[in-house]
Amino acid sequence: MRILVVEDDRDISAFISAGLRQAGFAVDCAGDGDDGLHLALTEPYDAAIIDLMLPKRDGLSLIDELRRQRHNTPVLILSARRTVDDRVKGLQAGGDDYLTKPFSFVELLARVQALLRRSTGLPSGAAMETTRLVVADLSLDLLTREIARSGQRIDLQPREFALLEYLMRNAGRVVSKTMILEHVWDYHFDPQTNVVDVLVSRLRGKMDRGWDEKYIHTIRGVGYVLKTS
Amino acid sequence: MSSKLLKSMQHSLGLRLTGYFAILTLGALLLFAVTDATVSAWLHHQDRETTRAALSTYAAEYRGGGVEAVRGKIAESENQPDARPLFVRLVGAAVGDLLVHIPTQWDETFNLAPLAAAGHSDAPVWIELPEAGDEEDGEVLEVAWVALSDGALLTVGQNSEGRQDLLEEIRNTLAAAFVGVVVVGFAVGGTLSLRALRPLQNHLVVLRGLIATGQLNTRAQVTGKGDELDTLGLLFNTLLDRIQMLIIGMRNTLDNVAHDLRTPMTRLRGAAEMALQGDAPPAQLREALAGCVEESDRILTMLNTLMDISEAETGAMKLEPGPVKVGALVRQVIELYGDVAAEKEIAITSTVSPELMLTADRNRMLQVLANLLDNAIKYTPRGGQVEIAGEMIVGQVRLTVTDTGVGIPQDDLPKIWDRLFRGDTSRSQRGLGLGLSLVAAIVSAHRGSVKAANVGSHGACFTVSLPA
Repeated sequence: MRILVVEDDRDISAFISAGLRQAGFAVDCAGDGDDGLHLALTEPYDAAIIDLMLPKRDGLSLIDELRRQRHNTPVLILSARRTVDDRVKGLQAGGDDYLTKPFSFVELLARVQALLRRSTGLPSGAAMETTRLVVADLSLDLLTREIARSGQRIDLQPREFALLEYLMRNAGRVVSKTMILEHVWDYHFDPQTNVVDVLVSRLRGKMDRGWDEKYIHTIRGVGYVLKTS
Repeated sequence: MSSKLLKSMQHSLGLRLTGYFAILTLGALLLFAVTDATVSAWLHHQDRETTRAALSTYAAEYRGGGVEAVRGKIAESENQPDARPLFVRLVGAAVGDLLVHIPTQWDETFNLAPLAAAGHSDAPVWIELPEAGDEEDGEVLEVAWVALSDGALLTVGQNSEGRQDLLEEIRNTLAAAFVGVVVVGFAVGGTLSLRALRPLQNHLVVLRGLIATGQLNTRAQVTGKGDELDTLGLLFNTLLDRIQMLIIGMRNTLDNVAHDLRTPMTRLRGAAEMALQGDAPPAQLREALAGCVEESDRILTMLNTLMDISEAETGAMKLEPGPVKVGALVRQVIELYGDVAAEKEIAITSTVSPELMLTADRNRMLQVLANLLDNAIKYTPRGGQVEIAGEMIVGQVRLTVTDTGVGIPQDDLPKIWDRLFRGDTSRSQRGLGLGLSLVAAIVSAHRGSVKAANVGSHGACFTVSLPA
């Protein structure tokens, strides 16, 4: 998978491309709108990450031109503007998603993967198609809503179930607190509270306590990840 | 540019005023012309009536006493001072002129030649005889004749001088009146337009000054007369007030944000600097980095919240009001905090009147309730209770969040809505000190009000009142 990053701030561009490469993508970078447009028109990319404030040609006009020339590469817009109007403008210009600066890298990665999933029409993993999620000895049945670890049944509250399902679907990938809040509660504000920590600690109490290997790990400052050794 | 605009405006206004003046003048002229024509026709008619009356009088005299009786009648009427002097001529059927009387006071002579052609007629025949000679003052002798029973012709005529003199006088009066109308109209119109334009001129001066200096504290003069230009001035001033409020709000926000961000920035910088000094083990460095990320998240949240507060306070917050089911809203927020409350063994109960509806921005209302509930849980000790209630009271939706916590010190009550205020007891609690300010700002952006009070000796009660 090949991704184009159009961002004029070198540091931001460097950290995005380093992160994406680590996640297994091939990445090209452009420092201004004209270079970005040229690359986007001449090279086949699976997705593009485009900043709005760019020298020479701004992001909106880049996307506009790209769409005019019938290139439908999925585009994730990056912007420091956070109002609803700006979002709408970006999406109307032909962007597929919008991420406000500053952002956490795990969120950017999750959104890029969602874009690719949507554009290729393929599920992110084999687990999507089954009704059972399995990570090592941990299994979650989406139909019967039964959860077991090494055959031992675990009873969860609905929100704990939603959180575990989300973590298992993203097994091995870090998810941020904001992502969990949006996914489990559909809440889109910073609640300035420890709601997520509390839920995670309850879930841990039910499925990690008493086991030698802990599956849920806290990545301080970033979020949580479910992984096995 | 602005003076050009002013001039063209004056021109167009002046043009319109000139137009009104022209209409006034033309109207007066038309009125006078109609008056003149009517009066002239009426005088002519009067003259003819006099002639007709005289014709029948003399005819009667002639029948009674012949030529002598007519002569006597003429002499008699000549002696009456108010009788109109008349031309009288009597022509016998065969003998020719029996009598020709031309009033002595007439100084004009008329060409009587056309009368020779007069023939027999039972009804009066009217002709006008011009003045003899080259005189060109338009005076005529209007005569009428009838045939009498013995074949004689009786002719009676009247000089048009009398009615022309009268008409002349009336015309002179009308002309004088017309001049008066024009002069008065011009003077009044000019004064009025000058007076009407003066406040506009004042407004323009203020506006130009404003553009030139950028000083928003000047205001247009309002005389209090309540006319359109006064209203314009008032609206203009209201607009300026609002702009000024927004600008001051923005400026204050900028100052506040800069100030409020300094503290977390200092913490962030300090943590990073400490980590860079000395030879800390990698685990400790990771810890410091994680601290930096967390601190920067906190700065971001703070920035967003401060922006929200100032947007709500200055009226720039974009609200998407719609019908909101209060019951569902309360359930959602309780769901969000259910685990946190359970962790502290705090029971959350709710009593919301069923079908209670509210017109508001749903997401913002969720934020309001979330912040109030967050606050209540924070200040309520383990094992306490929090109750959320929603009811309709005199046309207002009232939401209350009551806890069994530590309450609010009396001195702090007015201050809790201020930005970054945190009660002493809450030092240990995490939080930005912005939650309640955001609540107050969002509620007031919805034209509602907030209130906080203590309940008995333990617990606080926060009330949000919103227009339904």
